[in-house]
Amino acid sequence: MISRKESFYNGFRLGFPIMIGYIPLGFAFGVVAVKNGIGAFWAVMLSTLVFAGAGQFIAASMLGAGASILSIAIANLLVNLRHVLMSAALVTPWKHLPFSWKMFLSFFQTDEIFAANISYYKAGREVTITQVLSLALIAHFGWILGTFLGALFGESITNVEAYGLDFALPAMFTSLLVPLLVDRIQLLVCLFGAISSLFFMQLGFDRWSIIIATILSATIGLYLSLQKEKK
Amino acid sequence: MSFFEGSFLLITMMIGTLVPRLLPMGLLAKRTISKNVQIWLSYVPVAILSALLAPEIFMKNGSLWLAKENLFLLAFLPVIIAAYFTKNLFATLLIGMILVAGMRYFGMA
Repeated sequence: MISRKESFYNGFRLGFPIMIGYIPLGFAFGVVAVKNGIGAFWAVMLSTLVFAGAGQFIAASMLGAGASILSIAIANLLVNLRHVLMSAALVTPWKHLPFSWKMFLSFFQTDEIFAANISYYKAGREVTITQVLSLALIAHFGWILGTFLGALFGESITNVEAYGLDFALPAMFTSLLVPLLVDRIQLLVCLFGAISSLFFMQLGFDRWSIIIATILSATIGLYLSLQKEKK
Repeated sequence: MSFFEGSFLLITMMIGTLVPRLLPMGLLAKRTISKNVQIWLSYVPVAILSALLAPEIFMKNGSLWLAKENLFLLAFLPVIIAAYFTKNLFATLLIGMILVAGMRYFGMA
């Protein structure tokens, strides 16, 4: 049994580098958000109550392209479906925590926070509420602070393109995508997703093309996977 | 953004984020997700990320754009390599943004 102070320190040590990364990323979101018509207030609210980097960037970019809130909501849900499997991986390490705490702590499980938690548990360290919470809150603080600063200075940054800020979203997608291409079926799903998305987009399905391409490609992945098992 | 629009965006995005993160914790304690749904879910991240990424890189205003003035296309391969070797979101972002900002600074587009 480790002390609460030590637990807090363990969480802090894991969360600190994430906070340092989330400040500029949040800043980029804040700038992109105000540039695309999400006001500073709503940008900070999203970072506080949604806390989903990829989803928030997608929302800003889709709003800028004139998409409906319904299509943004669906795109956000789809991009966050990856968290179902991540969250499922936490069920066992968290099984001794009270139910309400499990629910509360699950809210904070972004890709980076989840990865930090899992590496900590894989090292066989003791899981405590204090550790999970301090890690999460420090990282979340960085995300909110970055968003606040970005939204604040966003108006005065007249040319986001000069700083390459408009490339933040594609670079983020690439960084999330590349490590997932671990086998041939995932690679085929990736190619099919890209090509079908371009195809539907060219046909003028606009932002819905992403949702259609996603459902189609994941289903093809399931089909290929079942075919492979049969053999 | 009006108060109504902002609230609607906030609430729908909260649902779309909280459901995937909380559902397994609330549900899996008692039952498991069916195997086919699990397999399907394992392909959703790659499917949506590639569907989102391709138009950003290969398109402009809804049509294909394959030209040397397309800086995102030029930066794409270095960013893939950076993502593969650094395995770090922040490093990859930084490399990508510096590349694009640099190419613009030197007047490539």
